Amino acid sequence: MNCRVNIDTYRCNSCETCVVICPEVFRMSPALEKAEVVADTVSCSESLERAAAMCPEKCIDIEQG
Amino acid sequence: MALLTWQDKYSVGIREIDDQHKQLITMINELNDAMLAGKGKDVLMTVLNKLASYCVSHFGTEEKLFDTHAYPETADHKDKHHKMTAKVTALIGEVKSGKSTVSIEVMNFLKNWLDKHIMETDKKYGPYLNSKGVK
Repeated sequence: MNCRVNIDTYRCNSCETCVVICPEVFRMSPALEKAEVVADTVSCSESLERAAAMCPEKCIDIEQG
Repeated sequence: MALLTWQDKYSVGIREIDDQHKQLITMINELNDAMLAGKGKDVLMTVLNKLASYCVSHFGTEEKLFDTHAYPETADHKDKHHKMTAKVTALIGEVKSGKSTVSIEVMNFLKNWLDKHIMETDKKYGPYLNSKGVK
């Protein structure tokens, strides 16, 4: 199953927690110094859900399908 | 729901040590729960302070048993303890300096402690100390 992932970059505090937990989906934007998603659509996974759950700012939104 | 629960596979066969290892699982769960609630940074220093005390008391317990019973791998094991204590000290320094990625670093450190140190390094001394009458 695929997921669409949105990051509220205003709330992202650049902590890199999502990048550490789910590096296949998240990376740090060199320009913004915020987290970004590697592609518009990614594979849904447990690590993706965990990354969103562990985000200290709760700024990651996951939509299935 | 707790991330981890104590399982027999974690046992080293010595009650006092197992009881102390259960405290580590409690710390992992405490940090995990806080991170899920978006409060990882709030409890981080509490967990790290507990961990620093834990290093002194728990490693002290193990090393006293090693010395008393002439455990052959004492030097190597003590060296690992020294490095882990230094890591805890470094993590405390990172928190004080405001490094924001540290919650997940501490979580990974604690899980690695359980998966590698307890499951591999600590498991080695169980049978030896059991053979010396330590249960």
